[in-house]
Amino acid sequence: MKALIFKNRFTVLITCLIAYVFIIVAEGLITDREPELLRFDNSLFELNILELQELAEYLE
Amino acid sequence: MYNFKVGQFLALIKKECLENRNLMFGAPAVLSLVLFVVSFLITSQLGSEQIVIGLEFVNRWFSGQSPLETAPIITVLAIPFVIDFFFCSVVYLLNALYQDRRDMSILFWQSMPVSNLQTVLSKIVTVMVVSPAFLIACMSVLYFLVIIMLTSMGVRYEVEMAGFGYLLVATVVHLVILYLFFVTSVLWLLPLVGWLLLFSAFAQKAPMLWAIGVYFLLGFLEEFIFGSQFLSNWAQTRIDPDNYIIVEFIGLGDRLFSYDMFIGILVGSILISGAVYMRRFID
Repeated sequence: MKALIFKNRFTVLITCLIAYVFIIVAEGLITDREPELLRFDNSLFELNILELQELAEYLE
Repeated sequence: MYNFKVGQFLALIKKECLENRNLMFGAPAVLSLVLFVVSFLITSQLGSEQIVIGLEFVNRWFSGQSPLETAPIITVLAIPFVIDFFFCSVVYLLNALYQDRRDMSILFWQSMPVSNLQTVLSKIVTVMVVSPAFLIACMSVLYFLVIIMLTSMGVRYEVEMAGFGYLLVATVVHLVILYLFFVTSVLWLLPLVGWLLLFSAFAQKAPMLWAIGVYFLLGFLEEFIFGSQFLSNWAQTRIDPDNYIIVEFIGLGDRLFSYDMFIGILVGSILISGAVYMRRFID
């Protein structure tokens, strides 16, 4: 296993990325972190892409 | 196990400072000079009545105020320096492990009795502790010059200057808070530091493109395959300034010893370990 991980720099990179993604996804699932990227708020107007999707579904 | 020697480590930090003096010392020094010249030019354009009104306002506003209460307000003046720090740090971290591979000086450094772990740690300590210290030094000189300028104008226009003493104390408190902010923000952004170092150690060309491109690719794949957004949400939480900006001492301990800080340090440590092991492979 160790020989496989340290075979070349691509395997080191892929191992790091797998560990990184695994921890973040596991942490996100455990803490139930809600995605907030689709919500955009400022003082002038409020944009929620999730609501736009709901509106599109309603119109259909 | 690595044989960690303080003398060697300090020598590595000194090497980083000398090699990156333009980013660490030059950029904040030039910014300070520009800001001072601009403020001097603006002041010279004002009439004597406007200057007196301004000086009286500063004096009245700071006079008798607690420095701890007024220091956060001065933080607004530090915004150009904060932007400078983050920009220079990103450039530094992207080149930190890439530059010596490009000019092949890595062969020389690896022949020295210095481990890869020490090399990478020296770069993190440089960006977390040393670079902010240079920045604060430049800001101290700028603030000191501005306060001298205000005091001399106060003498010239016969304005009472009791408030300037409070201003000086508030400035010192502000600089201490700002230094702590830089240190804690680098800790908070340790996953970003690790990410940049990993691609700095990995990329044969254009480390910035690799760092940005791979993150977007991972986010896209997560969204496309699993329909979730944990990666993008994580990045958004980390980058959001509300989560790591500090303008006062209150709440500093809570931020340092929080769950989010711990998980960030854990993720950052994994990426930094990757950067250390990546140093084994020389192109």
